[in-house]
Amino acid sequence: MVKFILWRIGILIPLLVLVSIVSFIVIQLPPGDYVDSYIRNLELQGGSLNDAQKETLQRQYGLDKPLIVQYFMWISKIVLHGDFGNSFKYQRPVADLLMERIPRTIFLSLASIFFTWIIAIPIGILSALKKYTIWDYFFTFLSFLGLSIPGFLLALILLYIVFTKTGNMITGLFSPEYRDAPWSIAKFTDMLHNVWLPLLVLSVTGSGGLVRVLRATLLDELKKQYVTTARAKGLPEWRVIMQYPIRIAINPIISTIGWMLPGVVGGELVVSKVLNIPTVGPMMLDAVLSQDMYLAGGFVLILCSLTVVGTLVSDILLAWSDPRIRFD
Amino acid sequence: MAKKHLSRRQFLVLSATGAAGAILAACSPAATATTAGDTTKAPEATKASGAVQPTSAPAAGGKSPRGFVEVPFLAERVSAGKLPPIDERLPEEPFVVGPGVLIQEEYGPWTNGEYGGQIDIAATWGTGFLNIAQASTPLRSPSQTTKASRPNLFSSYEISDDFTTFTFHLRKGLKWSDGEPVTTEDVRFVFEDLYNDPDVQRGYPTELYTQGASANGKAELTIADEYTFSLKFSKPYGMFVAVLNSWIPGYDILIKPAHYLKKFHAKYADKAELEAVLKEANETDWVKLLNNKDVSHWDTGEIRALGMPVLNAWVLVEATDTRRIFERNPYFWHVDSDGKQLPYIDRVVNNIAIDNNATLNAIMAGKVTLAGGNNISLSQMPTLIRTVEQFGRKIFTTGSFNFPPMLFLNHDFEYDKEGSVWQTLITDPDNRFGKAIAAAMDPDEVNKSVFFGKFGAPFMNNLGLDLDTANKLLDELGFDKRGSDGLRLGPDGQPFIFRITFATEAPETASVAELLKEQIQKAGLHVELEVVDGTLWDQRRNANQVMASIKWNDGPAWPTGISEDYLPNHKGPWSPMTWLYYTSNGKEGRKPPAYLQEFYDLHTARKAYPPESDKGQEIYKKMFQWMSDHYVMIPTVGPQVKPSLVDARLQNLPVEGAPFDLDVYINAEGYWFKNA
Repeated sequence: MVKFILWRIGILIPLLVLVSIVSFIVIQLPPGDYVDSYIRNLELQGGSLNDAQKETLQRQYGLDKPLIVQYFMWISKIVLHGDFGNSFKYQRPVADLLMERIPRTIFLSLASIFFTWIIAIPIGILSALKKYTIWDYFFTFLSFLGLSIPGFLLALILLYIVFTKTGNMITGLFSPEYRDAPWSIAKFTDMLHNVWLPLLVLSVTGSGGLVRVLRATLLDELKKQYVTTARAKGLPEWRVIMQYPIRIAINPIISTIGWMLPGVVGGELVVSKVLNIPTVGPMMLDAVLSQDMYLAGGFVLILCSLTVVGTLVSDILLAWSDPRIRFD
Repeated sequence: MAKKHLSRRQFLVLSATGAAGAILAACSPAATATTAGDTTKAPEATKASGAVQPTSAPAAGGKSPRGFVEVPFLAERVSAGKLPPIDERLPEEPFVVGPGVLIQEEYGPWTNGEYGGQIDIAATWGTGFLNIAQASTPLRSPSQTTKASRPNLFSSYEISDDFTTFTFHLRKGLKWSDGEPVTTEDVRFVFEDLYNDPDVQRGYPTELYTQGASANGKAELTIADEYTFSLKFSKPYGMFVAVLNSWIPGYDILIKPAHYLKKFHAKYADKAELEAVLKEANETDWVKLLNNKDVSHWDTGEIRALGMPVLNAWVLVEATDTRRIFERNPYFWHVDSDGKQLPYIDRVVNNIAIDNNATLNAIMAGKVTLAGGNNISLSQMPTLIRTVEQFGRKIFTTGSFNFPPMLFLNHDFEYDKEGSVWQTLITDPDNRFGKAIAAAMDPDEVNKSVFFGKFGAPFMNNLGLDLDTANKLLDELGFDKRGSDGLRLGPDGQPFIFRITFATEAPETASVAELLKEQIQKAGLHVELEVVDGTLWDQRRNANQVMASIKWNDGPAWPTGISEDYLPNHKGPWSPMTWLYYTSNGKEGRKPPAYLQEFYDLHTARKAYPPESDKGQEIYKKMFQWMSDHYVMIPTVGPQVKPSLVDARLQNLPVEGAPFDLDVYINAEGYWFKNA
């Protein structure tokens, strides 16, 4: 097992190099560069820059050099100094920007995963146990709804309903008064007032798939002979279910835990944009659209390493939880 | 298999505790607010609530020895000795604001106001379209005019009769927002150590070239003494008056806080200190750091603008990535006739919204005190009306600085292609193609369908819908044959496609484009719409690959010289290659043919005179006539009407029907809350 882990971690480095090249190319692909989108924004406000001023800006961001040179400038900063550079748009270190937003993102993602599990696992189990009864049909219908309704649509509908019924408009994670205030009970309560909406949306849409998967695997297990044997041996029903079949059914969930790591940090983009939640997602979208190389590139690299690490973690977890799985 | 050391149960318990711990850690106070080192921080008395908190009449009551009324918001800092009293903060001769100064009296009645209050906005970036913290200009005329040209930063100025020499006298006692005096050293630094410094290589602003053309050379700066300086141009440059009045270049092409910027300039900064600052900013090149810290007025709301002294009514004091807070500039030199120091309103708070929809949400939630310009549109009126009752808002409409989309016809397209059909059309001496297109367009339909019938008739090429003329002219031009699809074939018998390329920056552009396509196709011409992304459109435009396009521009502001975006490649391209020829002094681009050269001659001639002088107006009329005759751009509908949404208690706002929505933001220094 140790060899396996070492090998997987070892392959991270060449993989990162490859990812850095590809992401650099892709982020630079749209025509123009960051200065062009800056000028565009300026023109929308009524300003303009002449060629000399544009060149000054390009020199400022190192965009006047050929692409290869820019790439090496970026990569050498990361490899030699551990410095992800400064974002063009915010003019602050990329690391600082991410450190500001990532805790918020992790909190929201973990909370929504937690609620998704709380909702989905009992429902999935119940749905399997009470197969073809009214409960099963009811929950199946709900889970299909959750699967098919896009998250942002649900968010908008709920936003509208809340506004027309209570006159209360949810404008983000915090109300303006509390945005940069230090933490207090009041701030926490305010957050609860606002955060239930994205949590609800994310959990409902996320649990749909989970319910179905859980139901299917559990049904498979319940047909097996060892279950019948256990029942025959006089084990109480709840132990028959919980002790063995559930463990097998959890397998698919465990194998997706690995993807949770980048997902939790990457955050949910569309719902965040719709509900004005300042997580990492919207910031990344802006960075990519305006070709803010250091911010977008740095983040892609971080996500990539998290993905590899996460997949590794999930493989290990799976091997540990399921004795049938081997590494060769 | 080896015995596991950790049982399953223990593992689950551990991971649950770990996750709970992570959640708690994420909730720990993150010190994200960055504040300036130099600028004063808000006093504790100011609560961080979004509600308006107008202070009652100054407790101290009476006036200072010079006749000014101390600002209650600053009173605590003054008595604690952190700020000098008002008499010392204002220059010897402050700029007095009253009726007709910021905006013409018929468009905005003025009453002297009371101190206090806070404006909340929800823009998508630092200052959004707001111009709230940007509006200081060297000279000031009401609204978007340039005639009155009252000395703003200056106590007086002189212009030589031939408009070549401009002499300025800075106000004695005028100070930056950190209390340092404004002197000609701030001007000298800009010219010598920024524009002309070989290391810094700052791009020279177009407006400071004689007549705005680099071929005529740069302005010559002469410093007479601490408060007097003059600029000399090689040719008459009356248009410079418009530059000095315009918020587009602002004051920072002439004056910057030298005492602050010298800290980042290798010529002046102490070596060790510069190293320390560089290290702190994670930067190795001092030029990059200098350019970074020297924030233009467009970026006054950016996080990196913290600490930079300004001459605006409000100064950035707190900036995080979700919020910007501006506080009144204690050294702002505008006062009213009662002796109160402007701005009346103490703070401007911008809760940054992710996009325009989030801005709308914030408005609907009653969290916005002032919104207008391009943040809201007429189509949102039914939803906005609700806030009037619910939150005590007021909605009024004004004309706009921006026209609705115009159709641009590119006279340079395919100029280098032999036998180009387009070129034969566009160079027709009678301009029949342009006339035909204009006759096929139906401004009324666009007005009713897209703009609720609120916009008027086009200000230019106002032929109105006349399909007969359109058909007749197209037949005359050789489009009389039709193809199998019923659409006209070109004069050479080949299918001719009229391609309109545009980028969607406003939601209305796409709707207008679709309507235009239908209208022009009614005259039998094959129209194709090509929608591209913003930066791609810029590239195509500059590479002369665009036949026709749709874009909005600043039409209403052309006569006064505030905006010159009718130029061949400023907004929509109507002659990008000849413009390149003009700006590169003949090195690149297309040499203008005779009829296009007429435009450049008029353009150059206009520069010699102040735009609102008689001669200036005369030349402008000729130029405008030229643009109309040659159909370089055709308005799709009349001048815009824009809504503005404000707190109903605010006073000194522009009235319903005022000409420019932009004034709603620019004149914010004069607004005050009337609490009945």
